[in-house]
Amino acid sequence: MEKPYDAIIIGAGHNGLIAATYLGKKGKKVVVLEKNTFPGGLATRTEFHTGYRSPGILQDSSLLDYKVVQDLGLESKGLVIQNQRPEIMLLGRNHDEILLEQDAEKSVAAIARHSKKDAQRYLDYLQFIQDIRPFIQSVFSNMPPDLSGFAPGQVMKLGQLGWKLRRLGKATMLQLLKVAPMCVSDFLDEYFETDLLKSGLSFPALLGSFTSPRSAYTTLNLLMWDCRSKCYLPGGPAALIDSLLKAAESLGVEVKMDSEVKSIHFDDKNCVEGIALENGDTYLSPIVLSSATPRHTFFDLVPNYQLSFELEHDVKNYRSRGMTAKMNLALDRIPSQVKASIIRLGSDWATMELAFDPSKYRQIPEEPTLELSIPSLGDPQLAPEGHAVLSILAHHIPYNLEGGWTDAAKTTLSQAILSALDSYLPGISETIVGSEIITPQDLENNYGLTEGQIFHGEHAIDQILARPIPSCARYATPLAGLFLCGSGTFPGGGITGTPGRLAIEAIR
Amino acid sequence: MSSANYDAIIIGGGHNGLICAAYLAKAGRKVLVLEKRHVLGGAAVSEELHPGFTFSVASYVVSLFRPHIIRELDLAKHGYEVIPMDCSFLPLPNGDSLARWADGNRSRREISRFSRKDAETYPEFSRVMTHMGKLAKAVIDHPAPDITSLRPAELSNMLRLGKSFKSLGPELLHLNIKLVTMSAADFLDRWFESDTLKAPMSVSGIIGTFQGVRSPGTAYVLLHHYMGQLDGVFRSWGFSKGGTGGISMACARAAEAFGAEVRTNSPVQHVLLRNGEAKGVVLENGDELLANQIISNLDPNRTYLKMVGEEHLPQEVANDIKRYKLRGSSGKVNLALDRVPEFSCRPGIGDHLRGDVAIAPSIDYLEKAFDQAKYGDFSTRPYINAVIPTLTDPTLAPPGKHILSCFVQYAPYHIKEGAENWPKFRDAFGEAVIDTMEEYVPGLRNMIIYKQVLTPWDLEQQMGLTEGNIFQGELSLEQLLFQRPVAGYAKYKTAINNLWMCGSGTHPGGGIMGASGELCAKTMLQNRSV
Amino acid sequence: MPIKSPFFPRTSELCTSMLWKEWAGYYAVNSYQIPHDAEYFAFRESAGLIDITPLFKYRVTGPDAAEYLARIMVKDITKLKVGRVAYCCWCNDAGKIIDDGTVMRRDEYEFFVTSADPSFSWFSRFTRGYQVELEDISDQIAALALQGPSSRAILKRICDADLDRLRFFRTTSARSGDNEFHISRTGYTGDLGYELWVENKNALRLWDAIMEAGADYNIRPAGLDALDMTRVEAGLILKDVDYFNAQHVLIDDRTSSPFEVSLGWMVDLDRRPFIGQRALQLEKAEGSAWSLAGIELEWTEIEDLYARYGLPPEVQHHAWRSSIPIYTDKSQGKQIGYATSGTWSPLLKKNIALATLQSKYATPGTMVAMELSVEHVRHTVHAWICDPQFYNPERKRSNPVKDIAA
Repeated sequence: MEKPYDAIIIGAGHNGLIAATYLGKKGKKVVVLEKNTFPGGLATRTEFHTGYRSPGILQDSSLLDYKVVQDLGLESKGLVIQNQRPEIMLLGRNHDEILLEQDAEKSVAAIARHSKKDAQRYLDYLQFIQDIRPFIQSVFSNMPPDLSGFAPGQVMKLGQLGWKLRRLGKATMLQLLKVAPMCVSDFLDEYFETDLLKSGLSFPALLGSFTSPRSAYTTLNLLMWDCRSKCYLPGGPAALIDSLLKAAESLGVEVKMDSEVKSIHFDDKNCVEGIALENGDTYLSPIVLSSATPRHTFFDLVPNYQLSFELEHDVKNYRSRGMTAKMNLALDRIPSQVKASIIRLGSDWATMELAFDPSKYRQIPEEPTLELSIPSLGDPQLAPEGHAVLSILAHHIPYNLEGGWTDAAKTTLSQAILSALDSYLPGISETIVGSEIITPQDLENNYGLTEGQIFHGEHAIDQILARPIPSCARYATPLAGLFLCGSGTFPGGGITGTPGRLAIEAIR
Repeated sequence: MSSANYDAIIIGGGHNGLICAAYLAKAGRKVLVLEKRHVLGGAAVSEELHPGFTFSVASYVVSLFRPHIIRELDLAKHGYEVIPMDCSFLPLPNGDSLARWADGNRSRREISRFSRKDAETYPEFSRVMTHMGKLAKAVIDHPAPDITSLRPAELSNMLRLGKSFKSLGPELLHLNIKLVTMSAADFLDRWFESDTLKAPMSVSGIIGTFQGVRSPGTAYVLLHHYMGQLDGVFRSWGFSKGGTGGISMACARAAEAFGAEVRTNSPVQHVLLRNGEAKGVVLENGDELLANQIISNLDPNRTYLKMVGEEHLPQEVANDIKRYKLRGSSGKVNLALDRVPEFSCRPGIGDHLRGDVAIAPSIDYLEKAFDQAKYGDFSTRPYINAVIPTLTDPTLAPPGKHILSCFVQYAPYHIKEGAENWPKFRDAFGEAVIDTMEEYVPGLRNMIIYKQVLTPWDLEQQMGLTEGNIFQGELSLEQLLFQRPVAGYAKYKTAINNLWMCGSGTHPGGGIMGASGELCAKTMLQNRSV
Repeated sequence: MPIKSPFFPRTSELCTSMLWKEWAGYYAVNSYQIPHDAEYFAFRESAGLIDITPLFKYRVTGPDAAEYLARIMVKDITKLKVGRVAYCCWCNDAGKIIDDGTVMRRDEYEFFVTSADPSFSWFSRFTRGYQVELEDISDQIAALALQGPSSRAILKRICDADLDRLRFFRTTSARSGDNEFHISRTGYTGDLGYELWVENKNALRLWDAIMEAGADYNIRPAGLDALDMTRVEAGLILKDVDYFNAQHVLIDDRTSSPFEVSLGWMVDLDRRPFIGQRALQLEKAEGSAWSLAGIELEWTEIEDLYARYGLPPEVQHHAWRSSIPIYTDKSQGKQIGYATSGTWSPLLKKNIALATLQSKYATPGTMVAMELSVEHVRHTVHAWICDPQFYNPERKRSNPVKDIAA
């Protein structure tokens, strides 16, 4: 047994690496333990077909917390970051398209081809986002509000939050209070009339939650994304991992692969004393940060008797229903129709609802809602020159599929995705040279995602405000020395790095 | 002052309008209530639709009627009488059934057949919900605090609410957030495992809304079941003697006893405006009636857009009213029967029929009923809440004859063929309901003496409920509290001077509570507006 | 609508008083005759037989059964040896009592647990990660309590168990002819006594055998009224009277920790974490705000009060269970607690009660004052704080055969 570490971090995903690097920067002796043979978690390039690599599970890097980049000097470690959101192409089934660019005028012109009214309203929409952005950003980049009690300090913090809200101005505040609980379909209906635009804009509202456009509170998810999505990593999330590994290494942080943590150990006083690996190795440290999912951390790694009733009950009831599948396609050419690296296959509310309904009954939808990206456009090392990797996120694919994720079920899913794809991008099937399908079950098995939930737990308002559960809402847990630092903490999943950064603030 | 004949005219003789009138009259004001129809009550109305059979045409059970209104208006003296229900009965298609009783041990044994755990968790759940109910009660018994205002009165109002929250403690505070934002199905999952228990419990979260039990934001209506107990009533749901119109009639008699004038068959055409202020009303027959204050018991849409007119409204108010969502989602099938309908899964005429009967065999069943409605169809296998009020109040029908009153969801106002085409689908809708009931009550069709089918379109045409919404507006968070019906005008006062609202479209809204009518009157009196 | 226990055919025939109550959803006899003195004296002088089927019963089996129960219970069940019974309670995270009952270790991997409230839901919340099976056998097992000085002799006549050696809080299986059942030397009267656990289908045969064997000993069927008097004499607390299920009450003030109801002795604090441990450790360190104590009313003062009205002193024939204020002194200066149940003890000739008091007033020997209404007027009488075990006969714990190792 060696000298104890100052901190052990479970999982070398982006949040684990960020937390570790922050600690390394403070001069702490830190080790990151990763169960896989590669670092990066959901942001790992993997070769799925000879010569073709996928960029990882998550393809949206636009939410990255720039403070992390700055604090850890990631640009000097080779991270290329552009301070604007990538263009988004909304593609309709009848080959309608709307290209949403950074230049609002261009987007307006593109929308105007469908509806003059919508074009004008788009500017209103952008203005609203612009108006509320300071508030939303401030809320989602700082320690979450402490809702555990009414001590004067806590009340003051809540008061400050209220004050920030008021500072938006009465009209904006009222509009925000009005629309936040609304369903995204009603919200967007108030702005627009073009189905393609409405459905296309709504995508971020649905990702990672058990909701459809008609579900209340989905507007909040959309606003959370739209207010924070503002940068672009040409190299994709994997480039973030590359730079983080360099930064961590330069600070002496140890990152160990093939080191699956079996259990977290506690001393006589019920304080964390270290961990044991599946291979029998042990590591000592009074502090353990877990970037694994909350349920895996508490139910698989912590001895059950350490859990109070509340912890047991809340972790069990933390909603984490996987609803996302992934498909990677190797293409022998770059699809000609594609004008941006992110493509949302739009439709209308009824079609999106129809895509959602089967998932409630544990079925595969006939026409899943698809979000595409062509990461090889930004990161040429993913595909041979002139070829492309098409990475697809399919929404509303249930983890608990009736009958389980058999090979036959995987085939059904692949066919559903490909047939939907073909109706939007005719001829694309002829260009496919290889493919990979990743079901929610695969996400659980290969990436340790509880129930295949890509955000380590659904993005629902109660699970955002006190994420994952009230007693762990500020990274510290009721178990002395154990902290959470993954996507299952505030402000949630996606490539933001904010959980990893804020978790460090919780360690005294 | 003016030449007005009345201190206040109330448009609409629903229970809220009548309660508002009673409070104003009690305070010595000269009040006139104008009801368009020949009967009073609005949606809380009893009508003899078939000789000898008195139906609660629309609203059919009572739960949250504010007890202090009964005390203050002495309604019992004027005929208010509510008989508590014994049981909530759930027949199942597989021949089993679940009855939940007022007797806790009896309920526990019934639920145990489906889940022992759930049976025992039930009291624990009740305890938590009772706590939450305290908070809800603090909310419904006062005008909504205006969180956008910094006036001392509003701040102290918020402080009072803040104290109610504080008294919950952290655990329940978090649960409260969950309650407001989660779906009824997800919320119940935190406690229960049995679909058979969860399904009938979850429906209270969707009644009158255009949401499914899996839709976020539906959990908090579950509270309503627990609030009744806080009012000192053991069982919160009950039948009004003489039908729900009995309550309206008691309110009307109370109002009249205090000196209010109540006229039926007096449809108002529009509100009379002078210099942008309400001065009176113009009846459809052309008569003009003047009053210092006009109070509308109609829904916000009808009040602002029909009684006043968009052209008289500030633009942002007009816009807000137009985005105010009504979207009715339910219908009603009222049947007169020649005998007691017996359920094949629990034959006999037992106490299980002296309450409400829910056709809600599973969460998926309810959700699928909602799925159809999303795409503009009525549910072919709907959620039905049926009651046989004649077992409790035999005066409603000739001896030996009975009434089966079915509340049906979903029947979306906006069917894909267009709402105005509802009459073409009325029969098919009624048949779907009878077919569904007949799966549980064999031979039902042959017992029917008389049938009335009310689609949301009919509710709009007959009762004046815009889009057939039984609550005068969806009960979604963005349409509640300081936003009911629109921010800035959520304290009964409208955007038009001297025009007020007292219907369900104002805080706290929904159901036969009487709170909107009461709070409107009290607000007016407190402000010395009348 | 209560249901009938398997003994109902006998109890209903014998209950000539027609005095019944509902107990956990069952019909239960309050007293078989009016008055119930004979039933009380049966418990104390011969033997009383009472139907306790309404108790909830669980079987916990599996290699982790002991570990699992140790997580729930305040007592370290891993240390409970086979054949022994533990009286213990279980708490919520705040260290407040949910319920109390007995845990019997019938085998290395088999436990039998009783409770007053339905507990399956609570117990089942902690099974995750244990190799354990939890079964609710409440509806399958009927139960009788045979209590009183003659109970051993009666039981010996009908079964093969070595009762002379069965010590207090031990359990054993037994056979009466072809009727198999379990015996635990436990009870709720504070006297020598046994509780018998038998499958429903064999219940009536067991009743009949006992009644027949007990005839020579003046056995009597006894009801809850008599039991209530004896349990107060023995200082045994009752849920929903002397404390409340912490998961069911509306406010924290109504909850009690084990320390606050004189059950601190059963709490094994320093061991592996269990539910409520942290809160109980804290309470142990800081001291408890409340304590349960016995109080003995000053009889002469009661006599004097009645004498004022020209009445002889009246004693209540039933144990009472209402909350009565207790003050520092007779002038009602300061309320320091409340009595929750009490009785006239026909044996001790004392008016006794169980009371919840602020801890600093709960020292035995302290004089306090309790409210007492006589002829519609509220008075106060002096009372002395004492050990709640008012009656604790030697025979409760002793064995005729003394050779058993501890």
